[in-house]
Amino acid sequence: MSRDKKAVLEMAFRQIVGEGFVISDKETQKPYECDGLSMYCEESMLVVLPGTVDQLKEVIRLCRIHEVPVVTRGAGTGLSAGAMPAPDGIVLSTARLNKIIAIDEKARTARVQPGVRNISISEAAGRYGLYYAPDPSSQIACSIGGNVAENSGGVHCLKYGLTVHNVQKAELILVDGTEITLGGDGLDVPGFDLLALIIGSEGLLGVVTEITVRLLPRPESVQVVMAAFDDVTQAADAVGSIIAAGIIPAGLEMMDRYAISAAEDFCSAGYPKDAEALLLCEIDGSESEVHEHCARVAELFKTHAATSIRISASEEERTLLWKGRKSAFPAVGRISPDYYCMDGTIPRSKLAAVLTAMSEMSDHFGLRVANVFHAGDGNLHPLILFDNSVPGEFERAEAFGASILELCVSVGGCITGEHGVGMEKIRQMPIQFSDSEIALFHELKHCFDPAGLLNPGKGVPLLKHCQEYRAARQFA
Amino acid sequence: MPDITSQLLEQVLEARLERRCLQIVGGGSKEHYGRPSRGSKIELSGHQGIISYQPDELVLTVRCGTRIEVIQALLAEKNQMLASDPPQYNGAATIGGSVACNDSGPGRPWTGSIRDSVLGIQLITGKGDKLQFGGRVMKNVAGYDVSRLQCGAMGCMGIVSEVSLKVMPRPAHSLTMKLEINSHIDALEHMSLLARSAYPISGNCWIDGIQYVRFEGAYSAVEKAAKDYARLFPDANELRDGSSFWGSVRDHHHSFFRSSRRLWRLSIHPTAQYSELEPGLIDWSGAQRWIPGEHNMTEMVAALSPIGGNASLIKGGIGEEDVFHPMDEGSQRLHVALKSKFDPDRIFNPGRMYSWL
Repeated sequence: MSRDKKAVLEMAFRQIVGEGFVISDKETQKPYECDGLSMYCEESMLVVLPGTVDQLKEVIRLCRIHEVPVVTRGAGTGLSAGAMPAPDGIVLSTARLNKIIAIDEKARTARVQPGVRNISISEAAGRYGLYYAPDPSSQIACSIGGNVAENSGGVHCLKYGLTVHNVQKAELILVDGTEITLGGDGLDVPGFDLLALIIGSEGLLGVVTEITVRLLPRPESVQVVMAAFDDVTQAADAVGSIIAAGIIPAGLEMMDRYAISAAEDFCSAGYPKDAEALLLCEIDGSESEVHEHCARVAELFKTHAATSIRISASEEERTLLWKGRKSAFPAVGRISPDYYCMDGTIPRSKLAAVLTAMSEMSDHFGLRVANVFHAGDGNLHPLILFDNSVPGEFERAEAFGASILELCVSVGGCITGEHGVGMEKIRQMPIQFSDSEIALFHELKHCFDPAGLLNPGKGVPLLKHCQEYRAARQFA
Repeated sequence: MPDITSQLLEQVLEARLERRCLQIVGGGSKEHYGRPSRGSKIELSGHQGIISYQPDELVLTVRCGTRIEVIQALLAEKNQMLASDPPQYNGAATIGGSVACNDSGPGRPWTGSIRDSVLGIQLITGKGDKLQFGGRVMKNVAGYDVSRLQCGAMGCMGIVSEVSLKVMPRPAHSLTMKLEINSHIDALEHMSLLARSAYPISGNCWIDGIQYVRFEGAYSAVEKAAKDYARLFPDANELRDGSSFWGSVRDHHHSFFRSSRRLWRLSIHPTAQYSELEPGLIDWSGAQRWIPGEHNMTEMVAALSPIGGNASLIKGGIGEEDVFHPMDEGSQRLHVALKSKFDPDRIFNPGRMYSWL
């Protein structure tokens, strides 16, 4: 990027979005260099923060004319380097597009701008007794636009679904300026389901400028049953038996010994530190239903040899029991200088085998690993502990991570359950997809963004890189 | 049950070579839906069978020609079901056709559509490639969501030859209450009120001056909801044979569907009101409305333009007329572009969805 081009564009962007909303100096750009996966860093040419949808459209128009790559960024809490800047492009921040446009109490929907924080929707809908169900761990910070880009989940998605199940309509702008409404005011729309295609497309196909999400009535009652096990297989079987009994918990989380111990040291939730596995099972619904199901779940835990069982008796106790799980990541952060969070999904029946294999890998790579697991839906988050200041440790953590992803695919799972491919897992895509499938992904991208300006280099690997990766693995 | 994927691939390659179009046919239960297509038939009803079913993982993988009735019976043995309750149309409906039409039952607003439960597919493209997208796990965000893109695409991009779905437990208890409400405007108000409650509702519909609400879920929760409802609306009473009523709405056996008039289906904001189009049946808590009448598409589009929503002509389409609500130019361009990537020679179901697709 020539200095002249940068200066010309900077001036043009300033005219669109206002003086204070184009960041060009290195210092102020610093926070935009990476998302939540801080090992992947890059400096962009400029950061542009439009304050209105019209400004955003103008910014995109200018990028198209000058062929400037665009990396759209929400709150930057992503965990796959999906928002890592392109060096010759702009970061298009939606942070200022943060208005809740309307809440339709009768239709139970909220119309929001992409920069609105996930939790703000539930806060605003609370006065009508409604809430927005998907709740990623980062929900106090992450934006709904980012949730759409990643098809974010959260601890409640076994029962309430992912972002794709909770978005009804979205306004999309393509890089050529075409504006399209995806979905509609009703539940189904004739034609191809472009809304489903956009959700989880990681900012590669278009820029979403408005989103209508579905809201749910707040359940009357919520409780948590916690159980400890001295065997991981027993815990996994207990999860299977809850599902087989016809109960769909609102949340069903598992932690392994490392994670339990770190979380307990961090926030004293009362977790038994000698347990091999801990389950947290949240039940919601009417008072009587919650009562009935909690008793049944406790019974099932008992038959699977739980070493201790605790049912929350109050909202405070429920919050405390969750606190340990919710702070598992920072808790692990305290016992290791750095950690690397993975995101594979596996069939739950393979959990014990996967954990055993992972423990062998841990020995092989000489790095510790702690596991938190969305047990209900098979989404595993191994946290690899390492020290970035030790030369070669990050590379070893990365190699360990890649082996975990391969393991997930080999047992019938996938390389990412909710964090997305981004820059981070792009090399592992050929484990899960054939060349023809990846070629089709490129063709889909071409339908929306023929010049390849949106989030270049992310999500879908080049075919030649796939062949190289496969060849390298063969000889590894 | 046989796996005939290789024969299907051969037929596609042959058709492509001969530049011959193919009409994709499953159980033949959805001929009323969409426009007439052309070309020779490619029959999927022989491609049947359950590939795997793991009740405690809530995951089912089946071949596309498997009938919904067969699937639901198998799942019922483990006290599970296809949550979207797709229409069975006298037992003829298949899972492939239900995915292609994204066909859902009366519980759609609460239990989701079939699109919501799809986890992965095997797709035969117009190039004769056999591709896999998604998987057999609940969460999978690698690559674009090509699986859900096929739901409702009416086979225009390819043949969904296998599908993996998330299944759900059957509710422990089900109870339907009915209440006389003469005007559809009052019924919409009533539905909206119910939908905002936290009761375990799984059906909310109005027909022939009667409002029906179905409560499903844990025994205690259902009983409480029905009791509260009866207290709030003393004229309401329980419908004894609830399942046959909901089945008649789902499968279009209800007398309402027997009329010889054209029948429009609106997908619309659940509380939208308009004077021109009087619904004969309101379902999905107001979000789906059925309008009998001789209107044409231009009239429907004009009537809906001030309030939003879209119209589909479900019965009584004449000749070549378009039966689905027209879309904006940008979306239309994307449809054509996407079709060209999956099916470059346009062999699958030409014109079945739109005259231009």
